[in-house]
Amino acid sequence: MKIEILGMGCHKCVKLYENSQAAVKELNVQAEVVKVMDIQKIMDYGIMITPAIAIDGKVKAAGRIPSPDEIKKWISSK
Amino acid sequence: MDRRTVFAIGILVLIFAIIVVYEWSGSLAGVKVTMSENKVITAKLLEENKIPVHKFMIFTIIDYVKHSWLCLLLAFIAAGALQEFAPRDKVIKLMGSGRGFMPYAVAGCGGPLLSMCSCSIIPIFGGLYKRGAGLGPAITFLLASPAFNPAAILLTLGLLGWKFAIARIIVAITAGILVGYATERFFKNRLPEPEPVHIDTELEGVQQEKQNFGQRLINMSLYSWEFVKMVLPLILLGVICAGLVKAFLPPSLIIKYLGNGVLPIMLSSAIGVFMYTPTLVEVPLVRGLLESGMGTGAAMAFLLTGPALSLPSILGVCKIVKPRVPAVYATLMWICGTAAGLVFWFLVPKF
Repeated sequence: MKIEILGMGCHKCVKLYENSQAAVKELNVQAEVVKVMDIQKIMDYGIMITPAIAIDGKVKAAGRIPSPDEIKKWISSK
Repeated sequence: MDRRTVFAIGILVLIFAIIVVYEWSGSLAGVKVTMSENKVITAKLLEENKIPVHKFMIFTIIDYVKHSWLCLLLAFIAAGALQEFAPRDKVIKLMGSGRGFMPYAVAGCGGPLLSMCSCSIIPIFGGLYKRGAGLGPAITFLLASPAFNPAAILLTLGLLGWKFAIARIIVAITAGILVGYATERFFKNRLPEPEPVHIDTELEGVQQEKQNFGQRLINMSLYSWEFVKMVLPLILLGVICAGLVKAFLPPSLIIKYLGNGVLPIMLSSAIGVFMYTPTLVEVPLVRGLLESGMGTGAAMAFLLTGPALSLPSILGVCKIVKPRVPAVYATLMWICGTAAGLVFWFLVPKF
């Protein structure tokens, strides 16, 4: 499972990254959490506002910072 | 508790402690008297009155905090409320909705509704442009939203007064719309059409559970707190810069190059175009400069171009559109900054 954090580096993206790592750790699943900071790649996802989070290529949220619990729900429902 | 929280609480406690200690011990009495007698502080003045720089910096911080704490409080609440309750999807739809004046108007005013974080401005610009909203509204958004940041406006109100605050709003939106429209007209048929981007519509709507109002208030408070953590270090930085400017930059230099007159306004506008000022830092900095002799016109010009443009921002935009585009809108903004400065100088000659 691949979790991508889309953002250009402000601390909101960092917070989202930390929340995702926490979620992965708590669920103890095999998943890699990566940061996507290249603007071209970010725009390819079709999102408008960063920070955004995509799981296995599908954008789950944009423009806000989901809590680790919410991220856990998305991971579990896959 | 994460490091940022500790840092933010640390700064708050430190500022509070410094204020209490110094006010209580009366050890700033000397600085206060000197400040009230002389509007313009020079390094010589500080030396003559034997005021050490660190005391002067502390006094500056306290002075600025006194002027701005209420406005900042309002700003933090507003930031949280906007983040939680603003209807982002509707705003984006309106911005992308074809012809007419509507997209421009929404782009000009929609900044605070979409995001208060300056780093998301470039992705939003890219999204608007690629999604077919047109170059014009995208540029209008890019230029107007940093200045239309509610925290910046409220801080301007607190530190610079209502005239600057209102002027800032009017000037930012007007210049944004004008420059955006002009740039789009300039490049009509001269730029390749952006390829439409695949938009993933399975988004929050599906997953979002209904939250009752109480929960949303909690979210709002959490966002406000995040905003505080993000913004306090910046304001502190701005106030420190203001203190340094007041203590070390000779006013004669400031009056000569940034004082009253057409050339200083043009220079100030140009500096703002290139200089990177994180949003909110420009307000205490401008106050420090004004107190040291900057002209009101030059200040207004800088308040427009400073937050709206910067070299890093232009470089970032160059990755999305050809460099000719930022070259055009930067020049137009410089002209708008000069014009705004001239008009404001005429209307408000003194700080």
